Parts: sequence; structure tokens; C-alpha cells
Amino acid sequence: MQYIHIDKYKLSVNKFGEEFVLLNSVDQKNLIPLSEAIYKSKLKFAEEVIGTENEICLKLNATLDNIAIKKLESIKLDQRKGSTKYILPVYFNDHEDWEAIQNYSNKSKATIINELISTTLTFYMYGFLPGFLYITGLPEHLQCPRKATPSKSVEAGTIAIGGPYLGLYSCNSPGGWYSIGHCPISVFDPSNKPPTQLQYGNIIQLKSVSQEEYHSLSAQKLDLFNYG
Amino acid sequence: MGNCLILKPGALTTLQDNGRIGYAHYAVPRSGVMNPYAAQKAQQLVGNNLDWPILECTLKGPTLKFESATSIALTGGDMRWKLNGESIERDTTIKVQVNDLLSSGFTKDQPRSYLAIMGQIETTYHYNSCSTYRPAKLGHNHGQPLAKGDLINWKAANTQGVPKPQVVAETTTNNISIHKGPEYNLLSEKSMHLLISEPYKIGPDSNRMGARLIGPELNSASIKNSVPVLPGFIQLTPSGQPIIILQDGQTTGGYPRIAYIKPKDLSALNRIPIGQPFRFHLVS
Repeated sequence: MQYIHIDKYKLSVNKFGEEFVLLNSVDQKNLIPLSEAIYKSKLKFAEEVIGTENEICLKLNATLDNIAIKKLESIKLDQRKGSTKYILPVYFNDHEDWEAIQNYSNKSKATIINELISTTLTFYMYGFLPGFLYITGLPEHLQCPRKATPSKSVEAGTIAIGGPYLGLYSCNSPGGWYSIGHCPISVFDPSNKPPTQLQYGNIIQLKSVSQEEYHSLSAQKLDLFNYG
Repeated sequence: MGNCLILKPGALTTLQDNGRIGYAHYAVPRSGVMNPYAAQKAQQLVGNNLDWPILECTLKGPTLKFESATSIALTGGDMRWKLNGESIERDTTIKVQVNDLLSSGFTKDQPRSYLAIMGQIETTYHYNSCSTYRPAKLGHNHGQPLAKGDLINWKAANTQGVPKPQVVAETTTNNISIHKGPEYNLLSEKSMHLLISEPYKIGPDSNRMGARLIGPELNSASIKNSVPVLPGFIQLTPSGQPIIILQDGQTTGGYPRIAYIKPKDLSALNRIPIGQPFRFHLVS
């Protein structure tokens, strides 16, 4: 097994022919910030960069030779601290999934909403579907394990809880998380490049809105960056 | 300049090109033609650039009326193509006249057929690609397949001086090369053997996101966290039946990646008719 160092990370390099390479943290560090830094460095030999908590996959379009490894090892993480904060309006509706969450946490819906809007959450990563947001920072008693049988259809804009994450569905899709509300603003606009300006570590603050406000905000067709 | 009118869209006819590259970080799948060899052959036969939009027809082809004279080419599956009621050949350039009617039916073999029209089809692009990806409303007509009454417009494009790229010959095979994936070792010895010794079929509930396989049941295994996946990755589901991630597939998945098919071999898999047995061949 080959090992490389990028910034503060020691990584194992697992090559799969000329097709792709997997990078894993030797000491279980969170790889999301590194994956973002690798993606943003626009490496010529990596056609795609996909990051998850424990693994980064580079789809190769050239051999991962010593020059490529040197390029990888020269990448530095973005050190700018003091993250941008975004307000995410949520209409906490009466979705049937609330029952499961109340049972799991042993708390009332009102208490849970209050906890959610007073908790500082953090944008973690993209994954699953284009623009789907993984947000972390949920109190432990709200980290409801995923549904045994996924729902056949979850509507775009749905805010849901799945394990350690709060998620925002950017498109209609089947889904195994518990729905708690709806967000009236868009976080994924395909006419923009890149799809969203959210970065790992950005602060997300939920704001509870009424059904009326939800409809009025939906009609204004706002996005995360021109709201709040 | 020219156009044609969709009279019947068929089972699923979409505009595709070579897909979106470089956006998997945002969980945007690559998409694009499922059988690049056939698509490129069709484009070449009408003198188009290989990355221009092309019609990908699935299982049952469309019926359309040409309102302008042009040249077309049909490749891939045999969808019983007819021009004004007369059978026409695939893999050749065909001249069409104003008011000509192109019709088709269910495929006799491969699940997908390609229709290239001489010229550059005008469409919607997202992230440098017109490939139709319905869930996120990306590509042609914001992710919409072709529908009855749609007009396809194209502009005549100057392709002179564009070198003709070499198209590699398509080979038909029921033997798909696979390579050991990151979680290959989660297979029991018996399952490793079953995977390559028994035939599999592509199930009817397969689509552009994934091929659900029907075959010998492998041992069930699981992984703790979601991991990156690419088109061609073979995932082992809890039921013991594999799913192959295809062009519109997710970029992360929660199942063991027991094997993978190289991109160049993935179109061979995509050519296999639904329900027809094939075998995996492990390349080390």
C-alpha cells in the first residue's frame, strides 16, 4: 500500500487500474474539507472528485504517476476561518414522519423545532442527488436512524433527518430519511456554475416560517444567497 | 436550418451527448449516451461532431415527420425503422425529404437505438451538456424526454475541416469483463465463484440510473458509511442481487462495491437485451 501526505492528512492510496484511485485517511480524519480542496485545485489527471466522510475517489483520465502524486501532495486546505452564515427558512409542516421523530427523541414537536432553530448547524457535503445538502450538528437525540423501507417519493425542498444529518432534497426522489418540513428557497440552480456556492463549514441557521410565509417566499423564487 | 415533429415519442426518447464531466463533486451524474459506439457511428454517418445532441430511443422507437430535407442515420438496436412505410437499413446514411415519415416499433434486440440528424440540434445545456437528466431537470427542455408535438430544430453547421475521428468497431458479447472492486473481499468464496460461473440477466426494473441484475444470490454484506461510486460500479444489495451503476446513477452509495466494469466495456453491457443471460468474466 502506498501512502501520501496532503496538508495535515496521511492517506493510503488504493489504485484500481488506470480507472480510479481511492484515498483513505490513515487516522480516521474527516475527508470532506480535503475532498473540496482537491476538487477546487482542478487537477488535470482527475476527471471527477467524489468525497465522502471516509473516502475520496478520483476518476482518472491519465496515469497517477509521480508528477501527479506531487501535485496532489502540494494541495493546501483553505485556512480561512470565520465561515459565512446562511439562513434557511423552513415551514415545519405536519408530515406523518413527525410521529417517528417524536417517539425516537421522546420530545414534542414544538420542543424539537425550538431546538432545531437554536442549534448552529454546518454545511457538510453534497451527495446522493445533484445539490442534495448534507448538514451536520444535530443534537444526538434527533439523530434518528434511516427508515427501514424508503419512501417512494420525497418532494424537492423537503428537509429531512437521517442519522447524523439534516438533509435538503434538491429534487424529487425516493428517500429513506424522516421529513420534518419544507424549504421555500432554492439551493440548487442549474443555470449557475458551480451549482451552489456553499462550502464545507458554512454555518446554516434554520428559521421557522408559517405556511403563509412559506407560500409567499416560494412565489418570490429566492435562493439561499439572496434570502436573509 | 431544419426541423422535424414528434408524432409519437416511443417508450423513452431523450436527447443525449457525451454527458457532464467534472460535476460529480456536486452529486451531478455524468449522464450521456448509454452506447457511445453506436451514437458515434450515427453521428459520423451524417458528418456531425461527435459531441452534438443525438436522439437516444429506448425499447420502443418514436414516429416523426420531417419538415425539412436532411440526412439521418440509425444505429444500435433494431427498432424496425421505416421511412414512409418502407423498411430502411441501419448503419447507413439515409436522405429524407420534406414530409417524410420515420416510424419504428419495439426493438428486436438491443434496448437502445440512436437517431442522428445532420446538423446541430438546438437544445438546453446545463454544465456543458444537453443530456436529459430528469430528476434534477438538467439538459434538453429542462430534463424532459421528447413528447408528442415537440419540434426538434437544428442548424446546419459547418463541419468542414473537422477531422473525422476513428470509431472503434462495436462488438457484441455476452461476456462482460469485470475487475475486483474495493469491497470484493466482502464476498464469500462461494459468492466469488457464483458471480463468474453462473449467468445473470438485466431485470425489467432497470433504467438509466442502474441495471438491477437477476441471477445467483450472493452472500449479503454491508458497509458502515456511504462511499463514492462511478458508472460501471457493481454494488451488492442486501438481497444478494447486484446493481450496476449506470450513466444517470448516483455518485455515492451505501452498498459494497464488489466489482467494476471499465467505462469502455460498459456500453457492451448496455447493449444486452433485458432478460438475456450473460456472464461476468473476472480480469485480474
